[in-house]
Amino acid sequence: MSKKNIDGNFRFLTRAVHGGNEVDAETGAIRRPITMANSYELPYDPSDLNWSSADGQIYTRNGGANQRYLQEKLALLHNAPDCVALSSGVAALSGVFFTFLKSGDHVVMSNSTYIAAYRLINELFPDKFGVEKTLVDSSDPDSVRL
Amino acid sequence: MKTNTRLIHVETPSNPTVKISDIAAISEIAHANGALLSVDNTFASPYNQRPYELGADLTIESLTKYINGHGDAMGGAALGKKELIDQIRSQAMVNLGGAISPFNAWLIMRGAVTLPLRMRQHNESAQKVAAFLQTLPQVRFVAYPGLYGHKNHETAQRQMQNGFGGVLAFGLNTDHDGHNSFVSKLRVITNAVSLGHDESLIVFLGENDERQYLYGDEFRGGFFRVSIGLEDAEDLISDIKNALLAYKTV
Ligand SMILES: Cc1ncc(COP(=O)(O)O)c(C=O)c1O
Repeated sequence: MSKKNIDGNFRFLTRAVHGGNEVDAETGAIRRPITMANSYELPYDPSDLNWSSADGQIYTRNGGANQRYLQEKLALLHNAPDCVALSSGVAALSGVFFTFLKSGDHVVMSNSTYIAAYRLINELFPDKFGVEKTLVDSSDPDSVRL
Repeated sequence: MKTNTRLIHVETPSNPTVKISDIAAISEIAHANGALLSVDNTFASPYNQRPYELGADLTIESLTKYINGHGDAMGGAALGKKELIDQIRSQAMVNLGGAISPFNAWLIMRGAVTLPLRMRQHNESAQKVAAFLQTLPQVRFVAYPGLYGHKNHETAQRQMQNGFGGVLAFGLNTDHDGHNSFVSKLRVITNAVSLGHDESLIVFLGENDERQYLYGDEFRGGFFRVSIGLEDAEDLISDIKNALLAYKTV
């Protein structure tokens, strides 16, 4: 079976069509199927698996097949080395904030953003975690630098 | 910037004012100060703009919008170097539980195939509608990064290679009720939130919106955010013309 192996050497339209897709190994279908299973078969001895791992196929919340295909396509479209697909845009925003901010950190944020970004950085992170924030007019880089 | 600044977060073009921020310039500021830059790229989509190539550490997309493109599935993504994305995967997906459903991932993957073709049309039609709105005496202001009059048009031209997206903002020379009456007379453009769908969407952001104080003066009398869809641009223009003949103004 031939592998497409679409990479960044192809142009944008080609990456949009073929990125993340391959022939389905089991059926030979030319489109990868929807895999709705919640769980993936464990190895003979699962006892030393890391149940918090997002690498292997354990459980769909730790990474599912269709999520992986979509991530491949999106990384190609952005020319970025890696991608994580999540349940909504706000899950991505709050996920980035939660992952990289801790108490005492300071955030500089644009004063024009989607309302949930504003709610998270202007209110929730300061109130719950003591994160500091400054809203700036980011259309002027000098007001970011200040 | 302070010694404890960990993150700069910008959105460009921004919701709802389509403000443009210079990604390359801000990434230099972030990195000179040991901070990360995250850029919400939802209004542009990767067809028009790719923040990773411009120096952003993290790119955020609401897949719900242009990337899925059909207004029928929600999703989001963060992109960047593996060492950063791995941390998000572990914290935001496995432990906070923000995993995407396989069916939505499949729908979005299917929608994304036509992203470049759809973006060409969104870009072209939004430019036409913005230019048309500018000619109308009833229109108080139009904000669209593709217009020469936009404050950061040159920055937008530099970092948005293929076009300026499908979202614009405008206000009418009327009051609160006049804006709502205008929307009620539209037949093609739908009165609903969201953007990047196949159909055009409009939402009225009133003069009492809690964030009015953060926006430029022109936005303070109440304004519309419009997501120009994939209908024929001439039908969208007619829809606006007809609503302007029929609405109840002051
Ligand atoms: C710029 C921007 N970022 C993020 C979001 C949130 O995305 P989602 O609705 O997929 O959570 C939206 C709109 O909803 C948006 O306009």
